[in-house]
Amino acid sequence: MKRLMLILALIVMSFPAGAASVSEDPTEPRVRDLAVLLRCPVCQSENILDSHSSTAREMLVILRERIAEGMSDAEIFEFFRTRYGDYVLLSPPMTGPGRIVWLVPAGLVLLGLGVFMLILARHKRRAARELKDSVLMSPLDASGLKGMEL
Amino acid sequence: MTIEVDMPRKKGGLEWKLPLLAALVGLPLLLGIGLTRDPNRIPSALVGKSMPAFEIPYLQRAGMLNSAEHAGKPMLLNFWASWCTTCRVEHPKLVELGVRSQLSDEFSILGINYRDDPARAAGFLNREGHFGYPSGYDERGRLGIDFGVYGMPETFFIDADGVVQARHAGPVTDKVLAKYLPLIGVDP
Repeated sequence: MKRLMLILALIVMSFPAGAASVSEDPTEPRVRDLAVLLRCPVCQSENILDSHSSTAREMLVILRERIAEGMSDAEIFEFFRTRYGDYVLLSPPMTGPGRIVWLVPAGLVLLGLGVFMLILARHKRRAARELKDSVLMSPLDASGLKGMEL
Repeated sequence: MTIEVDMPRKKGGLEWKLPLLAALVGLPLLLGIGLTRDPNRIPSALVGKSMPAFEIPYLQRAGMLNSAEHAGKPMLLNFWASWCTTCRVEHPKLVELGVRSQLSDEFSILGINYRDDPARAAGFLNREGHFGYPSGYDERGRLGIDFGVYGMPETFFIDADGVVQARHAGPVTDKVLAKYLPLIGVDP
């Protein structure tokens, strides 16, 4: 009997314990999405999700509260922007001086593309001219042909 | 005989030398300007706007510190903490300003004790000297976030209409006061 109980106990204990799945608040993904776009004012090159500074922690708490209140993304960004300015947005707005950050790289890419096309066109033209020159400028006569190793 | 093709010689190539020169001069220039800028100086979004109204508990007495009770006069709002070493530098100046505001009634001055432990804050005041004005207690730094505070100490200069005219990050000195007090209608 004792042996049977032992065997039974061993069998029961060998079943994997089912881990209770951790259920996360359904708003948490949105909290993370927004938090990575907000700059920590203290550490400056980190977003408030990654930062361990107490200010960033508190901003994260405020962010959760605002989401719970039903604020839209734009309203939440505006909330932090009125306090810390455009600086707090890791993705600067396309207005005012923020436009420079967006337009300059795009302009440089266009400029580079233009220069590249220009160089390409010049090369093509030169190649065509050289071909023409080599064929037309020195007509080969019979005497010339004789000297050539054909 | 061999066919000789006269290759057109490359021109001076000024077209690409010029942009290269511009880049070689321009880039270090931009980077140089970047070096002179202090990344810790964040412009305040509050300047030119109304000061956020607040009501927070006092640090060292019962009751609430209400910003509305101090409206109608130019105001200095100083964020400080016992853990902030720079706060020790500006402390005598603040005590002096507190005395002046009590005597003259030209302006009011308030402190906000930011993310501190009340016991430590009391120790700090006992050691460095008490302000002649009350401080509110911003336990979790919420009011600091409302003011866009990012470091200690910070001082806001608010005019009689309640509009923030300036924000100074760093210790308050005579030079700072000479610069900002006239903005809120107070002689430095």
